This record gives sequence, structure tokens and C-alpha cells, in this order.
Amino acid sequence: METTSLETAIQREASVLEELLDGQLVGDRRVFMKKGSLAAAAMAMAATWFASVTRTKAQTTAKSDLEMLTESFTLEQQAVNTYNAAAALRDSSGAPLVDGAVLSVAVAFIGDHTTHAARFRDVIVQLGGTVPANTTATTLDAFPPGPNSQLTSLPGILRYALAVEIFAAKLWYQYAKDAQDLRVRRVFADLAPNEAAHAAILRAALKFVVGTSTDHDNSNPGKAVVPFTQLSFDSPVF
Amino acid sequence: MKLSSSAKEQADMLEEVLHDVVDPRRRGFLKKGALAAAAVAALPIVGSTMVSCSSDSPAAPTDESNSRDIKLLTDAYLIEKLAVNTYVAAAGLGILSGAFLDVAQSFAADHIGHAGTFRDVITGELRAAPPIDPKNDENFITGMMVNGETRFRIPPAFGNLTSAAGIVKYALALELTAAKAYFDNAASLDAGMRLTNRKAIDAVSDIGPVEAEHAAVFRAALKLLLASDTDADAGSDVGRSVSPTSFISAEMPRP
Repeated sequence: METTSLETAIQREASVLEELLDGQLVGDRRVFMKKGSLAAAAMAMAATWFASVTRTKAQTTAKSDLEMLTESFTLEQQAVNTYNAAAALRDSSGAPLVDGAVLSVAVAFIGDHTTHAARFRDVIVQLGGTVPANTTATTLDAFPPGPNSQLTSLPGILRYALAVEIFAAKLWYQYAKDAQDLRVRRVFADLAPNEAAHAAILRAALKFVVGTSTDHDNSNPGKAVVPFTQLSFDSPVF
Repeated sequence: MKLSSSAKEQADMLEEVLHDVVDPRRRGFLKKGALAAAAVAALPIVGSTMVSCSSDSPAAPTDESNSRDIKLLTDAYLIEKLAVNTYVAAAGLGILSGAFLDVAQSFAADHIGHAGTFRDVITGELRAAPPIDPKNDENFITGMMVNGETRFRIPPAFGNLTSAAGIVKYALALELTAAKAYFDNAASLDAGMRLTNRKAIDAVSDIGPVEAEHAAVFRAALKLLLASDTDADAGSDVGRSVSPTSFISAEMPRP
């Protein structure tokens, strides 16, 4: 059963990547995409990012590491901006969509991402790089909410945040592998588990607190909140 | 609780590394002794020489580095197998039920998968014999006999095994211990604790975050379902109680 689950996940990712490469949607794949169980937009962005990483690997190592760091610094800032924006969302009656324990969690995550950005900034400086200007953009600019992550309800907001966290965790994991300098590998390896922990908390909140499905829901609560045995098998669902 | 010299060294190293990246409140948390000496001491610590933080590109594999990789990854394999046995033992206490039991079984299955991944790298990429499994009744509570020596023993202290909350706290500490060990295996400043082989690094980097996910779920369960404190509780600040640190290296397991 475990193997089947993993194989399914791998097949999903492979299918989507194949879609992107082929530039075509046919038959059951179109249905799959329509179901929105995997965020095409996110994967397209991910593919662009990963392709960029592959290209830069062939370039000088220091530049490659710095590129990864500067991009990641900006992504962390975008995440902070997004959480702040989400915390301020209100429903049609003017009531906050995010409050109580969930708001407390969001605030803690904002603190984490702020610290992550600072950590990236420090390593950029250590390597002699130029720290990018602070951004006012949100991750919404890069990853528009999909059918599962509309920002009109608490579950939608949680799923959006979850997708962003999974995306970041996977990217840091990839960059940790690609990094040439130990300091760079270390920062990415240090942050990826924290993003994954954020995702797990959001999944637990969806399943156990809000009482709704997660992004990779399963009748087994354990599999609903930690659906994959390895981070690389996970995928963001917008 | 008396810290072993290795644990002290690691704590000192950790504090030094974190000095410029962790805010004072969290440094204070570290100094409170929340570092689980038993957990850290029980981990395989090979050497303690702190290397310079200067550029350190991956070195070409040597017989020495291959042997070290085999040892480190064998320890990782044993951590996973002992985790499975510990989950089985915890489930056998008859205290966990419903969703908690489901989660425990699911996490045990994850650890079986992790062990398989590590074994494949050991026998494939590193060209070594498969590790010898611990006995079924050997787990983190009992420790494991290796060459006449008890290793990997992590006695419950903060988490007792007589209540659901206590069991969850103990499991949380084990998960954090594993996540931190794999982070060290991937990117430690101490070359003696760091893997060299790319596939081995990939394996621990891929699995470490899942252990962190397990820990995060346990914290959420403690705070939101069991209305208990977490291992790093922040009172009414639910967010900091379930996400107390910003880096895995800053986590302090409290078994």
C-alpha cells in the first residue's frame, strides 16, 4: 500500500512534467488537470525554477550559489508578505477569515520566514554577494491561488499557505543538493525541514481543527497529514 | 542530568553556530538546558573537531570517506529500524487509540520506507553489506546492543509512557533527534559527522524534513487536540508552541 501511494505520487509528478514538456493536454490528463489535484501553475513555475537551477549549475560555482541564495531571500520575503496579507483577509461581513489559534500560527510562521530571509541575507554577505532590495511582492505574484486554494475561506487560505510551504521546502531541498559551498548547503538543509514542519502543521490544522480534507487527503489520518515518506515525493497543490 | 562531553561539545558548537542567527529569547531557551543530553549522547557522534566555516566544496570520495559514509548511513538505518520498533512498542502499551494510533502506524510505515532507502544506498552506491537489524524487542527505550555496548538508548524523561500526551512527547523527541542527525549528516560543520557521497546526502536531505513533519504533527496534536503543553511550550502563543524554532539545527529534543 505504501509503495502504491509512492508510485502514484511519482506518476503524478511525472505526468505533469511530461505535460509541461509536451505542451499538450490529452484525454485523462486534461481531466486530471481540471480536477486541480496538482497545481499546474505551481508546477510550471517549479519547472522554470528547476530548469534555471540546472542551467546555473554549469556556470561558476560561486555565482550559482549566490543566485540560489538571492532568489531564496526574495522568496522568503514574499512569503512574509503573503502571510501578512492573508492574516488581514475578511469575509463579506467584515469578519477576519484567520483568527484565534490559526492566526497565532500564521504570526509564528511570519517570524520564521523573516528569520529565514535574514539567514539567507547573512550568507549572501558572507559570500561577497549583493543582497537584493526588499520586495513588496507576495507569493501570489508567482503562484496564483488554484481551485483548492482560493483565498475566500479559511481552508482555502490554509491550503494556499500549505502549497507555498511545500514548494519552498522542495526548492530548498533541491538547492541543498546543488550547492557547491558548505555554508550554502547548510542553510538550505537547515531551512527545508522547517518549511516541511510548517506544511505538516497546516495539514494537521486542516484535518484535525478545521475538519476538512488536506491537499493529499487519505482516510488514514496519518497519511492525510504526512502523505509521503520523502520530501521529494511531495507536491504543492494550489 | 549530566551532559556527556560529546553532548556538551555539540551544545557549545550549536550555540556558537546559532549565535548570530537566533534571537536572544531562543538562545536563552537553549541555555535553559532544554538540550536533551541523553538523546544527543545516544546519537552516533564521530569526532568533534569543528571545521572552518570557509568554503568547503564536496571532496572526491576516498576509502576513508566511503567508510565514514557507510558508518553514518548504517547508524541512520538503525535509527529508522529502532524507531519502527519503538512505535510498535508504544502501540502495544494500549494507550493510543483512534486517530493517534492511525498516525503512529502511518509514521512507523514511513520509517520502514526510510530504512529501505538508506539500506539501498548502503548496499548499492556505497557497495557495503546490508546492516544487521536490531532485534524486534530492541528500541530506543531499551537501546541496542552493538559489539557488547548499549547504543541508541534514549530514556524517557520529559515524556512518560503512561499517557497519550507522554507518549506523543517522547515520539516527538525521537523524530527531532532523527531530523537533526540527518541535517548533521548532510551539512554538519564537523567533517566527521558529514556524509560525502552525493546519493547518501540526497537520502538524508530527503528524509530529514519528513521527520520534522512528524514532529510538527505531534506538537500540533499536543497543543490543539490534547490541550497539553509541547516540548517547547509558549503558553497562550499557540504558534510558537507548535513551531518553536526557525531552523532544524535550533531544535532541542526533550525525550
